[in-house]
Amino acid sequence: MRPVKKLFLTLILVVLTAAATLAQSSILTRIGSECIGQPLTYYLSKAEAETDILFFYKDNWVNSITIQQPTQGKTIKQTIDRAIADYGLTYIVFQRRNIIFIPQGFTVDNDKLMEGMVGYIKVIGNIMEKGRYKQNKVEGTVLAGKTMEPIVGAVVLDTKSHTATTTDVDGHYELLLPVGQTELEFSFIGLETEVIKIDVLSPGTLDVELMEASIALEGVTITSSGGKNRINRTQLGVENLDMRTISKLPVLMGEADIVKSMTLLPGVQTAGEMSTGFNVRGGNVDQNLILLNEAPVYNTSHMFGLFSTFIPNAISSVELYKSAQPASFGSRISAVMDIGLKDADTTRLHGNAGIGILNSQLFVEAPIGRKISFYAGGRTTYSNWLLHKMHNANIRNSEASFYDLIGKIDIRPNRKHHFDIFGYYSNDFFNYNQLSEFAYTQQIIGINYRWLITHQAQFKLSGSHTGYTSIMSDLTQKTLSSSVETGIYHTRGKAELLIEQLSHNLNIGVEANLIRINPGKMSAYNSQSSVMPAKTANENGIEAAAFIADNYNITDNLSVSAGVRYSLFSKIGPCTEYKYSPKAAKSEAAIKDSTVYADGDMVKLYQGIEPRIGLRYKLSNTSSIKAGYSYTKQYQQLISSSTSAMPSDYWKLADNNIAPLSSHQVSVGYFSTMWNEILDFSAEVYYKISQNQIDYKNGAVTTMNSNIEQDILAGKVRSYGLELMLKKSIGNLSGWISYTLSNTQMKVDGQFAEEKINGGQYYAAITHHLHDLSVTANYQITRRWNAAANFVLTSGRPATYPEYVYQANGMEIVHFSDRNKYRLPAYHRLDLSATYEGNLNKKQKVHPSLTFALYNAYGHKNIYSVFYKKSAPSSTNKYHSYGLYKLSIIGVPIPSVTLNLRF
Amino acid sequence: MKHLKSILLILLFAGCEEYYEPNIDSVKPIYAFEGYVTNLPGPYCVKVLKSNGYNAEQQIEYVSDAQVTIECKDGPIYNLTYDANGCYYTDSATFLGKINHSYRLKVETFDGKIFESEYDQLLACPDIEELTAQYYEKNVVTTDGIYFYDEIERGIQVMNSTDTYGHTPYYKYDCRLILQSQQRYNNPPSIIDFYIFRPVSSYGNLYIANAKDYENKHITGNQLFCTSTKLFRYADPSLIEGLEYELINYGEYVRVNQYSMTEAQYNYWNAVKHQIENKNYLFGQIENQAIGNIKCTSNPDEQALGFFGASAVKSAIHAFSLREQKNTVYSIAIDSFPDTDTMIIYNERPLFSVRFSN
Repeated sequence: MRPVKKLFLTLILVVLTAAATLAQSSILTRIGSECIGQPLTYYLSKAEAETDILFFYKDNWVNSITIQQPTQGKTIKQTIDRAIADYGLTYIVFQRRNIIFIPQGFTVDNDKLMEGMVGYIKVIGNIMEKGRYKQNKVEGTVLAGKTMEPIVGAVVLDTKSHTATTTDVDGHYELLLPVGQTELEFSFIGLETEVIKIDVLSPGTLDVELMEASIALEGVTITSSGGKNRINRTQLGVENLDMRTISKLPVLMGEADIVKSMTLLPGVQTAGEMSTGFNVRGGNVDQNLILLNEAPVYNTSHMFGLFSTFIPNAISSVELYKSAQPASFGSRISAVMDIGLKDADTTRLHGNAGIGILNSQLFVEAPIGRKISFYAGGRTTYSNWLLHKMHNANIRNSEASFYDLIGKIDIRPNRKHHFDIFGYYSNDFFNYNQLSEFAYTQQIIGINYRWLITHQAQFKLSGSHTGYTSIMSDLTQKTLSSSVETGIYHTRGKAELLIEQLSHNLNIGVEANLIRINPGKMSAYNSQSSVMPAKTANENGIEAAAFIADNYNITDNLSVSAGVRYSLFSKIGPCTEYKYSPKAAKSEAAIKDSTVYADGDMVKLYQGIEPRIGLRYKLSNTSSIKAGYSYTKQYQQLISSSTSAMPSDYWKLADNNIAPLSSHQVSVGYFSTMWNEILDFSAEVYYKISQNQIDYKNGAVTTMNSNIEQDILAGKVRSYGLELMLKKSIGNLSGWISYTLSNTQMKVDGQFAEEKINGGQYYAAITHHLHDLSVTANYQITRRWNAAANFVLTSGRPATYPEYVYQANGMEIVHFSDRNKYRLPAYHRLDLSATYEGNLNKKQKVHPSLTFALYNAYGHKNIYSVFYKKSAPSSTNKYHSYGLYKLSIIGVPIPSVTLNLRF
Repeated sequence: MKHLKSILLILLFAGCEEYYEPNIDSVKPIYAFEGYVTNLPGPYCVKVLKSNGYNAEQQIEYVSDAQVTIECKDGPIYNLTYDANGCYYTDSATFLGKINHSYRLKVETFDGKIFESEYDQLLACPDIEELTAQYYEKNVVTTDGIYFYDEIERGIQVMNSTDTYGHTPYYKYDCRLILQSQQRYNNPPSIIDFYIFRPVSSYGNLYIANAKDYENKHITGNQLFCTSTKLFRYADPSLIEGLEYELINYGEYVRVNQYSMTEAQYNYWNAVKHQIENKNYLFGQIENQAIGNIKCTSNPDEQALGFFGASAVKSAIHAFSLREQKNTVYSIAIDSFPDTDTMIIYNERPLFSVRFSN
């Protein structure tokens, strides 16, 4: 059965069972245009232009109908009732905004009639302007029919010319089409593909709602555009996951998690269990730019990675650029994760509530009048009751909690202008056995403005401020307990102009960033402590960029995406910079001179051009090859006191002594769909070289270090790999297998012995994982039951172990191996989940669902970290006074049950 | 339902820490050295031993057949004589370390390898300005292998202050303490109260200070040895009960030795300190390699471990007493330190008492 038939079958059946209760307010809208004497199709196009209504009809049913009565000031219902009265037609209203003309006496059980309905044609444009333009811009918005949210990344394909485009963050698409009839195919993963026959008269709009597979009836088919999207897109190394896919993956505590989901894709690896962030193609956690609605995000997780920072209900889409980033992005050399907040629903009040064992969430969205809508949501944990009942006293004495809040207001004065204002706040608290305490907060506020200047031009303006503060306290002794506060405060502004002209998509813009860093402020934890306060000097920096990029379809098969970004950066005063002797390794003794910079003084200007280019050649409609190159600079790096990313890590700006990071990357890929588009396959290879990446001197002191340049070293990193992905998005069983074979090595070969690691030879970088396999499967068992599983297997990360033991001063002293000489055991984990949809009836006000999840199903004790510490000599540790210990954070299966209520 | 709750409680948050024995390459033992020259009368000891592989079963091997000498940069060469346990000693009659002189170690082993250290300068050491002590409490968790117990560990933290102006900023410390405590003991019932007199050494622990971490390079409140309930427990498990609550209310004698260090020597011990104090409550740390100053000159590819250094020494002796009602420690400087190295004495009367003015 072809998709369009299924859509109509679905539409009609749903309408016949529920239409009577559906609101009909749109059809009662009064139209301002006077169309007397004009064809009915002319009136319908006018009505579509003035309202949000869509009309569906078969052209030979309506072509002969002319409007005989005045239409100005009349409701649509009044006009079409009169117009079609004598033509044996009637109509039904579906989902308030869709009006479907059908012959009188039509019944849904009549297969012949259903066959006949396939010929419906949607007229685009104004009949009076027919033929005026060679190319007509057809644009519109693709919405999810269930939630009325814009769909980002949906593919719109003109099946006649094989021209395709994808929807932007607003679900908006634009296509240039010649006059005449054609078919547009709208598709998106997890939703029914819709094919609409159109007759293009002149530029016009066509908004489409894609229905979720779960509300379709017999023969549910989940279709996907992912494969075609990947084939057609010029950009290489782009991973796109929509929230539907993410929400169906099994995760810890039943909470959809963007970051964990991304690590199931090729080339993306977790930075470690209970670690914040992720690694992309061997890059460190700090080499990923994470943008939430254009605002930088500095903390991506709660409770050390247990939960994602991003509230799933507020997210519309996630795109990860791991290869050639578009020129509009920069500042980080490995990847950009562009997370779009969804637009608040403009039609009705609805929301979602979730109640779990340890955490709950509430999310509500609603319109305020016709032009303003909003949403607000929040999550919180109440895990302390559980921790306090633990057998293990270390955990029993611990406390862990977080909460976060998000809110967004969308303002649409008219179709051309869109403002949104959003805010996010999160707070985490963790106390480990009254020995150490972590508290960190993140605040983000942003404003975005979009202006559709013409059909071909769009202007975007965004501004944001992100503040991230972390306080780490050492409570081992009451009288000497101390807190160290670090933080980063980032203000960002960006303006972009997007112009679409024939085969070109031009993007021009500028960006400015103001960054302030608090590297450390120490204070007494409480009045009992005698610790003296101390402070390392704040750092300030300014980063600006201008960019221009174009996506040009040279031929039907060949397209190029080329761009250039010019970035400049300087640390600015007040600060004191030291100059070191070139004859010795950087140390206090090697300081030759110092320069004091006053407030606002420029310390050192770094600048450069960052070219980006991507090529795509379509071998056929089902396959393409791509190649890309990018050069990116990064002016700030994260200073970490451990081998795992921690919330207390702090940032360091490039200055006279620490040069900016830079990276060249080339990649080549092959993309295809197979078996009638049931399977999508991709293979990418990449080679990346980075300069000036930080590693640490032996025994580096990173906390409260005013001269951190004396403890860090700059190195060169080379990373290369093969990424394979096989994905099935169609049918009851969907999922993917991704595999990455990669190598990431670092070389620190300074001038002096203290500035070399492993004798200046290449060694395995901490982000190196030779093999990385992920298998993800989702099975729609029945209409109510859905089951999912994912399995990950990753080579253990590099580790440094002690190789020798000797004695001095009555103590055992160990001599470590070369850095990262060894590997931790492989990491593997199986997660399972099942979701039961309580009610599928759309009329129900509340739709409950229950999600059962089992994280780490077979309870493998994956190693979080290995460390060397004092121990009581025994036969277990071969009578060493010190020993190696491994810590497994989650060493058992963790079940969870979450009740979700959608209303 | 009760069982379900229990299962959930057990399953959730079940992180665990276990002894770990990874597959580490078998390595050939390499030579390790330890030795110091001070400005105090010798003899000075240089230890020569062979390190073990981390996973090796055998004990560390002492080297008894090496030729060991200490060279003064602008002066004579001193030969050392083997004694026992890998220790070679100088002749105290002929060798006394001198301020500002630099010394290095040279060792020729039986298998023909020659090892030489860098010169390390014997830098002048300032006086210990003050020894103080502070009462502290901290939460600790102990386990008997089955159950975990929450406890409050109480103790006395000894600290020093030293003004390093005009001197090296790097110092190492060792301490010797004599504790005297009252114990109520019911078995045999004839003894009701008696006093325990216990010498304790900081040997096996490491205390260092970097004056650059302090304002005006004036070391203040540098934490040295702790006298804690935990210490008593380890020292004599059969006598825990009473001592838990007595601490040092019958007095504690403390002698602290302060050793001046060069930057290279400090860096070595600082790395060792980070190794042994890697608390690692949750996160893996960057490893700390203790880089010594000894090289094999006969074969540059041969590794050598350890540090040979020179230090000037200054000492301070104090007596402390804790008044439990106020949790206040009283302190007084005294002239001499009882010469008791190994005795634990049980007596019906205190062996010493110190008069403190309130």
